Amino acid sequence: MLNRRPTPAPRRAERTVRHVPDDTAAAYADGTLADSAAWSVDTHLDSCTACAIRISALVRTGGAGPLLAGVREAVLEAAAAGPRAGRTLPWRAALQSARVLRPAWVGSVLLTLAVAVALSRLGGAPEGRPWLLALAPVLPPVGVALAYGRYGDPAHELAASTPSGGLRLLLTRTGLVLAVCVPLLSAAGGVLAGAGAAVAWLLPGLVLTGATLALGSWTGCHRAAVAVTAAWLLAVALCGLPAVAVPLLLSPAAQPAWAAAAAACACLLILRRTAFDHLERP
Amino acid sequence: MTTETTVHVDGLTVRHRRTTALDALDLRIGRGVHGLLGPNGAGKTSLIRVLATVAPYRSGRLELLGVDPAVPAGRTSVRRRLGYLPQEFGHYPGFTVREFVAYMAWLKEVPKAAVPEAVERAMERVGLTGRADARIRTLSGGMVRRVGIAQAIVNDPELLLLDEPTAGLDPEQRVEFRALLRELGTTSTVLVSTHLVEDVATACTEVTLLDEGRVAFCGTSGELAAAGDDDAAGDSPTERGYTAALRRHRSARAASPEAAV
Repeated sequence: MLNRRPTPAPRRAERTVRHVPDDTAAAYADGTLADSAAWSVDTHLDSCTACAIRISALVRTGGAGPLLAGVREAVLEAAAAGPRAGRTLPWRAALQSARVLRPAWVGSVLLTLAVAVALSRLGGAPEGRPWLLALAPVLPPVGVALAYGRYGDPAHELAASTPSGGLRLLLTRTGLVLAVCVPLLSAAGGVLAGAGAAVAWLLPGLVLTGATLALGSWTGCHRAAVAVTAAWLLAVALCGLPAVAVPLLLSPAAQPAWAAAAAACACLLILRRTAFDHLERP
Repeated sequence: MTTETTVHVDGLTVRHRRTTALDALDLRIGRGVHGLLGPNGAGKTSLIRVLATVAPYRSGRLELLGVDPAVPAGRTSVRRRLGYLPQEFGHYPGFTVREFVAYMAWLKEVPKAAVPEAVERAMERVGLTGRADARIRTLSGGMVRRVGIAQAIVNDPELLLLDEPTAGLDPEQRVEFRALLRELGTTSTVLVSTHLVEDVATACTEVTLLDEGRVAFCGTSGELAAAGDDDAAGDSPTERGYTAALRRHRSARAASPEAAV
């Protein structure tokens, strides 16, 4: 408002208009001044900085002072605390990207479970269990390939131009995929084969996922997932069908080897961590 | 204009298989709004993708916002200060506008405490505050384009790269968008690729015209309009300048392929 007033106005006002007398100013600050007199003070204050300062000081020391001080303190406190409601927003945004998991992939996880359960119903638990355990380890790598990268993620072009679009986003997506896979498949394994065998697929599943990520640092996750899945299915086929392969590949004796492989994948991934924010390969 | 140069491009060459998209391109850009014009296949998208640190290049040297994006640390630093709207704006249709813009703020590493405010401000600047909680799949094409612009500016980028941002906007939205561009250009470097010559005439201070991966013209939009002559095709001075500059560049290249750069 001050800016809009033509500059000569205040001087003229100060010269020609009488300043507010002390008793009127005190009554104005108390709010006890008659309306008509208060209006003329209002008009004068619009153009006279000196009187405005005088009356502001009177109001602060008068009856309304404590109330004003309280309001000031509350406003400063709220400003220092910042926008509280949104604090969790970035995390929520990361979790919301759970929606990027493809219905096709979630469907294939559920289908695997359904097939395993159906087989075990038809032929007893020994029939369903090997199939479930043979397919379960490839589901996480396939999920990762469908949730990250140029072929799986519709917003990948955008993500590739951001500082977090590399390993950080890839690990977030991998975490989401595992968060869906691990409970579902382990529960189904538990139902079909008892608690001990339920998690037999877990380490191989982690190894295949880790291998996909590590290999993906050179080839992209899409190709890496295809290669890793093919290698696993080939190994199962070479050992004979799941009924033979699964006891062999997932036996308790094989678990330490899988653990070592998982550690190796993790180390390789750490070494290759900057590869993911590189420019895409031509 | 003597603003500081924020984008240095020296001898940039980009190849897609056997075709050359950019041929030893040199470019200097500072603060303000810069138009990138040229026929289809001239290399506009190739240039923007390289500047967005998304696409690799065969040879040449880049300096964006004072750092070299070929070095990992430099790349991270540039990416935090970059806004990019690709020609094909890939998004998640199931996200709401607010969720998507917040997700991009997370990816761009906007400080956590600043995210909610940055998201609201970006949506307000493109006029989407009223649709903040609508799923993107329910929005019209022009609105989706505005979501794309909102995500690009959510981190208050110092370098803003927009590839065909006005495609799909109706005339009224285009006018509002040009006003937003001019506002953004006062504080950051904005590079807009477009095939709409009137965008350049009204919103851009400087213009670069590409043809077959080379710079055919570089100057102010006034200079481009002045480059036109009466027998050049076009309905406006800028359009006539565009066709005349392109024709001159092509005949110069045909006369001495080595000398024309």
